[in-house]
Amino acid sequence: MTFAARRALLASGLVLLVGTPLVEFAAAVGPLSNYLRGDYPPGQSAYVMMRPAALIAIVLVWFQWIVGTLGRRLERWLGVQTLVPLHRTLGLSAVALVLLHPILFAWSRSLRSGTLEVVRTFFPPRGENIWEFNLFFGAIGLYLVIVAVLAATLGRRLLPRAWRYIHALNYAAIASVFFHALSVGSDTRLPMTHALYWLLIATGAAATVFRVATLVRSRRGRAASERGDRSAAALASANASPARPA
Amino acid sequence: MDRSIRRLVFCLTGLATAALATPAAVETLQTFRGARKDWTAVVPTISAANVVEMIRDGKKVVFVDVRESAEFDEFHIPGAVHSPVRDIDGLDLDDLKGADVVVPYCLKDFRGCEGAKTLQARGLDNVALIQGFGIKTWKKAHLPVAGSFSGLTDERAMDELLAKAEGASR
Repeated sequence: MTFAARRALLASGLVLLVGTPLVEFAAAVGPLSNYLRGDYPPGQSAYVMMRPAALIAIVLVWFQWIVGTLGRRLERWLGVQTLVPLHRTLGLSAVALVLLHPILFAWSRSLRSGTLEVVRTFFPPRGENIWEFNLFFGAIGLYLVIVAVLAATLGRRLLPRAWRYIHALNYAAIASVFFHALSVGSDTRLPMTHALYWLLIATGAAATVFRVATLVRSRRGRAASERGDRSAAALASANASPARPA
Repeated sequence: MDRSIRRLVFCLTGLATAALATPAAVETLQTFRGARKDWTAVVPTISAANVVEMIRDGKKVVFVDVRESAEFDEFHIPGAVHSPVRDIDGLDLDDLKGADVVVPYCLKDFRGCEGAKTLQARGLDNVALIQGFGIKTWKKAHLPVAGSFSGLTDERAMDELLAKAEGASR
């Protein structure tokens, strides 16, 4: 397969991953132009529009997960020198949509129930019900993503060594966000979207396990070669030292 | 090539953000200008007090809880039919057609409204939402709920509801 064909395959795959949930969503809510006509209670249009923001964002977040764990292999497979610029661009796009989702949700709540509802969206629930509890995992994911992305953008200069470890908070963010999506997502229970989300989780988890295994193996290999170098150096210096007198 | 792909991604993201935020912005502007249409002409509302009166008077009121199972088990309006919003298309309408009013609900009726519109689209003309929206309004009015939170069965919660209705009518 040529590199161009592989890139086209990847792009088509991403379009399919984004398009499938959006098609199911559109079938569930009906014509979106209705929400401009005011036939709905206050806040309904914002509530409906926050859902495609999340559906697109989570696929971008998943792709970032894959690029983050299998970046080098993906670069070789695609025949590109580096995926880092695309990783940055898609990362910022994902963050924009990840932010839009709770903003629209808080907006919808404030239109329906008053301004204080905005606060409730971003703060821990007061033990009311399981839905509010599961909803808050989305807020946790949002905060972790913001910290992780800030580490990669601003932190590279401030913490040149440590920023990668803070950026790894994205793994916790991904777990939180997928839990939130599957537990309270209005569209994640539609059949194709539900199956797709489990596929995303499975592939991401497999990529992470593979990456960790590779890292552990390379560290062991490095440690072994360092030990080998040291003993070779010791042997060489022992051979080079003058013979002892009889 | 890489730079043009990045520009494309940024443009698409900007367009998506603008497109998704537009209906909410239009609605907010209409609300501030007092120019919002009277949506209750399309999805009527009924106050919790009216509903309780109807139940007391022996009218047939069917609540349809469109939340998930775990939420329904925690608390629900006594006697409510459970049908998650994604399953409303498959709900048997025979029982609902004969009702005086069918009231789909969720926590604040975001999903409840979708349920109501779906039932209207399926041919029901006796659908209404709770005035003030959702089971939160029901609970704010100190009306009984069944489920694990209250420890009441549907029958006990209904008895309490009728007792409250009788008390209110005196």
